[in-house]
Amino acid sequence: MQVQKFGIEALDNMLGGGLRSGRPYIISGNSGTGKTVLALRFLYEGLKMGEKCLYIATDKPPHSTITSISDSFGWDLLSLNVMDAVPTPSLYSTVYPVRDVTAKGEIREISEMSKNVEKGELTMESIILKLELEYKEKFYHRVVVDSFTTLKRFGVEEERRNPVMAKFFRFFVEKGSTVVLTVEGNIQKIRPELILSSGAIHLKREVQDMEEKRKIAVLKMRGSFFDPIEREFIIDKNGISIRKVKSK
Amino acid sequence: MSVNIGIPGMEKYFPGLREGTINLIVGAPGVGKTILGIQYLIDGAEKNEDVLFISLNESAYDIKRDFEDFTWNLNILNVIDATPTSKKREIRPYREVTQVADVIKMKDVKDKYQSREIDVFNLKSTLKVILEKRKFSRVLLDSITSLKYFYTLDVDPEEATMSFLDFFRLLENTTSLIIAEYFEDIENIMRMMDSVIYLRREGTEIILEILKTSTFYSRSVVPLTLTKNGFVINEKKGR
Repeated sequence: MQVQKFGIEALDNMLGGGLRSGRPYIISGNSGTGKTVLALRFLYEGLKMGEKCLYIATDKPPHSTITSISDSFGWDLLSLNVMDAVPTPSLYSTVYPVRDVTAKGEIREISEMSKNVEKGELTMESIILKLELEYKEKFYHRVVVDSFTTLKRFGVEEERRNPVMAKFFRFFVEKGSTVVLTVEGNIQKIRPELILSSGAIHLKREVQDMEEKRKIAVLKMRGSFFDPIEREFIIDKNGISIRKVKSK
Repeated sequence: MSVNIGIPGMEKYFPGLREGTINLIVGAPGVGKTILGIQYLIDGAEKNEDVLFISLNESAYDIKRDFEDFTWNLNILNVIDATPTSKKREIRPYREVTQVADVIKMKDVKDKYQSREIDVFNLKSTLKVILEKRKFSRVLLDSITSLKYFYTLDVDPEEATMSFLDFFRLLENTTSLIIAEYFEDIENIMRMMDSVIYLRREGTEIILEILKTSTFYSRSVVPLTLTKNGFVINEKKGR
């Protein structure tokens, strides 16, 4: 079985070697727990292996995220392809929660990104169409959708949400790409994502006695004898480091 | 007559499922529900029974790869791959009622993915056609939660789920095992089950608990360990 690693040895071991190629995975956790950093660590590792990687951004324009992550950790993400799928302000209007517009989102090299790229009004289905065209030209080994929660909230009408989400996950499985989707919210809110994914990594951030504690656990990993024990981790200039479990 | 769930030595505590009934495995994501379900089918297949796996969560191709690390011979199972396609839904003036999937032997699974539009209606009619012609002693459905979430466009998910399960209840001589996520909206489903097996994680261990059954049992909580031969009872931790 072929696996794709994060390049964080302790995490790859927790997963039973890494993520299994061609499957969908989620990284869940509240805002500020480190989902984007971990997801980009996955793409960075892919780039180092010479794999084609795509970053689909729905929260913030991708260039700002990528630049700040590259600067903070010294990761070279220049050969990353990105798709700006940030909804335009009109999409946030409560009157028309979703506009069914064909995909305008463009995929380009991060090095060609300027700050004023025309943004598309993207729906989950229009992104599938756009990616369908993109995949005719090239295959992506690793894809990150950050965040899937925003896409779910603004990219599909509520009554069709679950079946369309199933299609979105399915798209990457059919293409054979390993996709990592970041999701926000408690377990109740992310049930469909938990079912659709082949595996789930959960991140937590707690503050106790003025001290910040970050925690990571593998919740699910189909086809793997994974390690479910929760561990502490830190994010510093060296990136993500996972602490050893203290033996009792 | 009891049908063994496939965990060696389990009959000491729990005689098994009552023949011809519909039963449930519930548990959180990642706890091993599919593994226990497959173990149940393998147990039957090794006794030369005709067993059927209906997969909604993962394609037959992916299931096969998932179980590569186990010592089981998955090739002897029959499977209906009912995973949906990502292709855009075609608008049709009528509901598709033709057969949308077929029974195949796991050993003949070669195509990665099929591409049919599947929903609760055409899946139910497909199963009806198939199961009227051919009797299976054991059937595994993975999972009813998937059916409810992802296969019920334009219908009431709750009602559709119930009528779908009712179909399994009416199958004679088939002992069905249904997999469900352990979400709080599961009460209605549990009510129609003959037995309910609950899997939960405690540290690195999996605990099997019989939440409900119509057969006699001597112990309702059994600690398990997951091995390459599937779940085995963790005897050290017992009692």
